[in-house]
Amino acid sequence: MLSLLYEIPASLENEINNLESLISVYRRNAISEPELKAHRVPFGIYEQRKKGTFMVRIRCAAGIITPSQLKHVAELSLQFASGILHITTRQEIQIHDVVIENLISIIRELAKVGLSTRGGGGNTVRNITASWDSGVATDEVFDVAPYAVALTSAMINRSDSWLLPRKYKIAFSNSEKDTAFASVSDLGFIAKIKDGVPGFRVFVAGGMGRHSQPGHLLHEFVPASEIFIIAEAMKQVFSKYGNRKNKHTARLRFLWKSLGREQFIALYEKEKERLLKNGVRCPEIRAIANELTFPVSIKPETEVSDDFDIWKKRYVRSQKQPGAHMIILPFIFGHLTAEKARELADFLLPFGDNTIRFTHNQNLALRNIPTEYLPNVYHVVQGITDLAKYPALLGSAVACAGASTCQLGICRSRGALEAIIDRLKVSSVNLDILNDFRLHISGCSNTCGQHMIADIGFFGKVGRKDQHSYPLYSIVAGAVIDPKSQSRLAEHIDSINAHDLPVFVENLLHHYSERKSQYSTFVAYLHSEGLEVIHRLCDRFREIPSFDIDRSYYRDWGDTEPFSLAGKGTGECSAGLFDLIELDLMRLRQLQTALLENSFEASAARMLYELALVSARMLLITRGVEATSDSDVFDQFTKLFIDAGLIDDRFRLVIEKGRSGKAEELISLRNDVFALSNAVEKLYQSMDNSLQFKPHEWDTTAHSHHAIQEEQTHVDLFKDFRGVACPMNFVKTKMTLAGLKPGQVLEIMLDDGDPIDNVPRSLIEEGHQIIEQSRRNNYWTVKIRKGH
Amino acid sequence: MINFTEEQLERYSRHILLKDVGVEGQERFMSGKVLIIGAGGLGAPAALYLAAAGVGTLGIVDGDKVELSNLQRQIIHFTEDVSIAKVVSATQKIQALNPDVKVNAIQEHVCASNIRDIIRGYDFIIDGTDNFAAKFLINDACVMEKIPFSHGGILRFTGQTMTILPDQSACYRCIFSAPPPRNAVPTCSQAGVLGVIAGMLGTIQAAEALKFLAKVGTLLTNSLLTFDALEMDFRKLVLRKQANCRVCGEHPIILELIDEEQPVCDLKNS
Repeated sequence: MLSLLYEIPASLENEINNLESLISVYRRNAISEPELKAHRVPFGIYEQRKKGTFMVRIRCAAGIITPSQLKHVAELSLQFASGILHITTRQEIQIHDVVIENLISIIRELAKVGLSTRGGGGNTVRNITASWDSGVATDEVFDVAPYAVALTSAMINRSDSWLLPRKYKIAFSNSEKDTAFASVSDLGFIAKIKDGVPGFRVFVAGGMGRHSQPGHLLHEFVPASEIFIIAEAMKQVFSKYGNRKNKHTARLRFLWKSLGREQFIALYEKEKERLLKNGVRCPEIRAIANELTFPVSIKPETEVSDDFDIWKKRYVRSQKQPGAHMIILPFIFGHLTAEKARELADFLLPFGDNTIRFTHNQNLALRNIPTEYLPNVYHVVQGITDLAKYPALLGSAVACAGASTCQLGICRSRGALEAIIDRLKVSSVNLDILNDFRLHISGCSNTCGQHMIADIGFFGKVGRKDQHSYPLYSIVAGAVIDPKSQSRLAEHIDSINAHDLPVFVENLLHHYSERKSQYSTFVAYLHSEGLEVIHRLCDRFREIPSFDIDRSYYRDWGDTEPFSLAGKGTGECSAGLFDLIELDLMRLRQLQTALLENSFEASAARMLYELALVSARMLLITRGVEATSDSDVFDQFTKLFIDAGLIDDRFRLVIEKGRSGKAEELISLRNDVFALSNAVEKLYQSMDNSLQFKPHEWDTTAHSHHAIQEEQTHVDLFKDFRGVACPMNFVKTKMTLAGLKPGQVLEIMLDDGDPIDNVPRSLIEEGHQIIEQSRRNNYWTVKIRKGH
Repeated sequence: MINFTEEQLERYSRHILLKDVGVEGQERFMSGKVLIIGAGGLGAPAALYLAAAGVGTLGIVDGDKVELSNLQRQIIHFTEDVSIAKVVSATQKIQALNPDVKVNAIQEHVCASNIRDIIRGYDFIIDGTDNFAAKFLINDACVMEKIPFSHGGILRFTGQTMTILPDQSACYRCIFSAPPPRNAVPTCSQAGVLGVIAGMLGTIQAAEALKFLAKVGTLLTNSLLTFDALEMDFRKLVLRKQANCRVCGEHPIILELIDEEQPVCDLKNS
């Protein structure tokens, strides 16, 4: 086997056989879909939005694939799938639209050429990535790809790598430029040489998604021979103490947060010690040769043109090996057709096995190409990717799949990026000076489009004007990937509606490109004037026309239907859906407060009407309904909530009055309107992740369990700080804690909103430990263990 | 542990919020005793901030009455206070600001014969005097009584301050062995001073007092902070305790307090 590739473990064949029998049992209806899902997802097989079609994700350690492997994948895609290949941001390759009957054939075929899909998804050791230019970059510390490959071989050979609390992502960077984003991964290695010994700086518990977090420095230096023991020890810590009850707070970064640095590291050191005692050894590291192969079968071509020179400037880089070149092939969304992939593979075969890498921005990088053959590559590339004619920024922009295919997506991020690219293609902005610019778009607040590491990034959410929802993007900006000092994730800045997003991007890039010479980085520009420019642009686009005047604002890019969340996200935590509910909930509370303070009749009638309307509307989306008018809201609510027995029958009168639009008649029903709004809120609190209600158990608490906590914590003192505003609630908590001994437990009640967002966080900062935090209807209880 | 009232909790909430002060730090403020010598340019802001911080006992020593020319910088005194005793004026303001604070008003000038009795029992002293004789007297007395203090001095647009922990850090005499010859250096009244300079320096001294009481941070010991507000230039000179210091050295020569050449007690009518 080549040193270039990971070793397929002997166990894989057995695992494939097991999956095969499970699939056949499933097809005879003997097991349920969730049961099959639990097994297929860790095999890198995801069901697509269209029922019965599947995506298969193939592990490519360090983004490496050989031309012959690529050719094989392309042929499988042509034979069994959509004929389109998809490069991921984690340097893997996917094939789509596979029917269930063909899954096993594909996986067996892949194994024949040394490729595995194991750990392509689910709660597993995911693809181990590396800087795409590792081994050839002129400014690297050393080649890290052999370590990513060796670690892959070692990790995929252990069955417990497939049974983790959540995914476990490992990355290797070949220099402090951290092009593999090791400093924002679950576990990240950055090449470093100390006293002549190759090794790594190690980061841990970083990651993107809910509560994105840059990694924490774990080791300033470890010799390269220790990578396996570190990765394995960390895996054991994760496996033993990670939160298996709630997948939303399961990633390693949550464990770090709940344990605190000291305890986390102590557990990790203990695991390391245990592994050492058991005699765990480092797998063999075999260097990967980067050599030039001069194909005898191909004659060097010639090309003399300005276009060729521009292309070289944009996409060709010299390697540290003299006379050798790396070449970027840009693809939009990482899509290339299987036919073109096969054509490219055929072309590359004579240049040797070590000629292809997938990059983190879903492009393809060729390497080890002799100077003489650059014109040949140029000619082939023209036929393979249209983007090669344009500045590099267009091909390096990243978008996740978005709402067009993803179950969780809110906005159609791909449509938006396409619209941006179309606009930039014809714009006068000098994009060539922005070739390192990081533009990222995600369809929702999950960070599949990696917006948290963007110079400028967007994530989709929902806006609402009158009864109509429309696609809206949050703008984040200013990520700094700099493990030398401190990597920082992008910060939220403002919002822009999807329709005006391309104009916004063009305007911003135009302004930045004009000023770029004055600033060392985009972040410097941001802090000096960029933020203001963004706010100014956003202000210009903030008010959108009403639905009746211009419907294009209410239609997402690449969609023919008006924007809607209806029917989306059942069974999953769909961020957008909750956004919409929270918007109404916020309005509901505002109205309640305003009504309590205001007794003026005319406005009270109007507010009572709106309160009834918002109450009735708030949860309709959970039943897959978006009402078209006020009266529709009341009708649907009656049908789906009152008739269905979720809301008490006594509210029928309020709803009827609302339905008839007689706001003034609600004044005499004031108490009922309030009670209705409270009933709806209670119902919402009882909703679980699959959007089911438990109307009779609404006060059941949702505990966020601490990883290693006894079943019942003894509470030494209890205080109710509801109704105490920030920061006095924190002052009082500190005051109370001052009377306790270290290790004793205080339980407090806090209001929802700012108090629960801030007080526990501040307590952690002061060295106390939050051992439990539970929502009770509209307030929280928090158990605190006093620190030392 | 002190039982905070609701009002106290709220009044001191911004201290309690601080991780490095917190409940314990505020308790230390509230049981702390600080003496301010001189209710003038430096003493005024120091007294106000320490009172605001809730320092339990504030001693104020000054034998002078408020003069109109004081008001440009001595912000604890108001126009209506002109010609009443500075300690009386200061006590009224402190009590209006924070009734929790106990004030010991001592309407006297410090001199060799009274200073040790005056300073005894305090946790920390703030030197807010305006002449060298008094500064050396305070230094020597504090060294002998082993009471930490903050030295401060201002002139025109400049200020200097250092904090002394007797026996542990360099004292004022380690740096300056004796007062300069009479009239070699102009006093404030001869040279003039920008009023805010007094505020800047007095608040630094108050900050040192609070840090000392709360036992947090690094005190300005073994270093002299000087600033020039015209250029807004701040410098910290690193200093060392001198083994041959006349008062705190290994073989001290000054064993008894004496009033220096320009006796403070004679300044009453200057």
